[in-house]
Amino acid sequence: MLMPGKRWQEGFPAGLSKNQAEGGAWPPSARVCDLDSGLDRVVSRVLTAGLYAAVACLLVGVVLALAHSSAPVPRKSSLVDIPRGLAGLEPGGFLNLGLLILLVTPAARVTALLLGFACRRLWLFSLLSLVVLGVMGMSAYLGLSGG
Amino acid sequence: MVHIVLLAVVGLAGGGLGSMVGLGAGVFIIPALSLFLGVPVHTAIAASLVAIVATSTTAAASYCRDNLTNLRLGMTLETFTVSGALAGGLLGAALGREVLSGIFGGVMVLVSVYMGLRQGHDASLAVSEEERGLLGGSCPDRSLGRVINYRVRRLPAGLVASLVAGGVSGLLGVGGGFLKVPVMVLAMGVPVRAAVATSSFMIGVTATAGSLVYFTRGMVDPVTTVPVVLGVTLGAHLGSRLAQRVRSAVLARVLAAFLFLLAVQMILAAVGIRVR
Repeated sequence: MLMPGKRWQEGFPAGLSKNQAEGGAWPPSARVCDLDSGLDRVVSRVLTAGLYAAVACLLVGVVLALAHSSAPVPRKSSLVDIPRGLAGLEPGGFLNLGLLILLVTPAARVTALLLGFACRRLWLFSLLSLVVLGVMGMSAYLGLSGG
Repeated sequence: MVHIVLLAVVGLAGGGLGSMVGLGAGVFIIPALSLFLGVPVHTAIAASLVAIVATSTTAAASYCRDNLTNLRLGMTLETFTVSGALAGGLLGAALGREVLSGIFGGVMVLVSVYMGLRQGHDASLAVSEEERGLLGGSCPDRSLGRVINYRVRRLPAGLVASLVAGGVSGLLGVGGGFLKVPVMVLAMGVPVRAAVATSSFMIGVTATAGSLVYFTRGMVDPVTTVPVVLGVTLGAHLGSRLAQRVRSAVLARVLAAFLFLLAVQMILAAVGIRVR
């Protein structure tokens, strides 16, 4: 696994030392976010995990659809049909689950930031994360209730 | 089968371009699907919103890993963006899309021309580490081979722009990056690279709310959306990698060119000429 700044170091122009280019301390990532150091990597991992899970489900759905080409894939998204589709190994179940995982991944990243800021006692930003999460929840509720 | 492949190609192109300039790809995907592939516009908008989430997730994961995203600034602006998106969604019927298109098209023409002509913006922003402030940050610029320290200026302008961008996103089914990136760069003094990364980071949350509504109401067509999403994911991954190797001035010019094209499209829509 690359250390923080390693990737950056590898991309340096020839003839320019890291201290010349940086003008001092190294690696640069240690100075990028002194207040929320390390949080960016947590967010990156949450997003990557959500993305991989979603893409895996979508690919399984595509393979099942190609394998059972006689069975039509539903043209509408459905939350309630996901468990039945998964149990019956239907492509629609996996495709809908993949899309759903993709859509909740940003909410998971806001939750990770809320907790991360709180752990670092950055209460203002933790509160802002909570507000964002609340507005997202309200928006989903209004959508579901037809408001 | 050819249709499915074409959907994936549209997603690939949209994701690549969108992630490079901090946009959600909706501005490319909706016209391409409805104009060239005959997809009904509501299906295209739903697919576009899900694709925006995919673009943002892919690009933001990469940008965060490379320390380009300003998390604190992103979360601060995001409170206003999601509030604007909620308000835009609820009040959408009150304002005509043509009026909005005309206003924002005009503003965007000015912004794109200004961005395209402006030179050496990043160099003039450099501040010392101590002067960065609570919302400022550091942006490693691989193409310049150094780290740029910057301070966030004119926060109220950014908050207002975020609110408006969220409202437009809720109304038109786009990510809103076309407003956030120029305001962060021109008004708030954020380097282009950090602005693109922070915008990509924010767009996913804005689009998620709208996407969930479409999804739970059964308006997302998996047959259309899944190929686009898979294409977008690959394109955004490649685009976010490529963006770090391109000079900021070039990135700003690319952004300006896309903003100009989008502005023309919006103005044409305002006078009743549908390009998409």
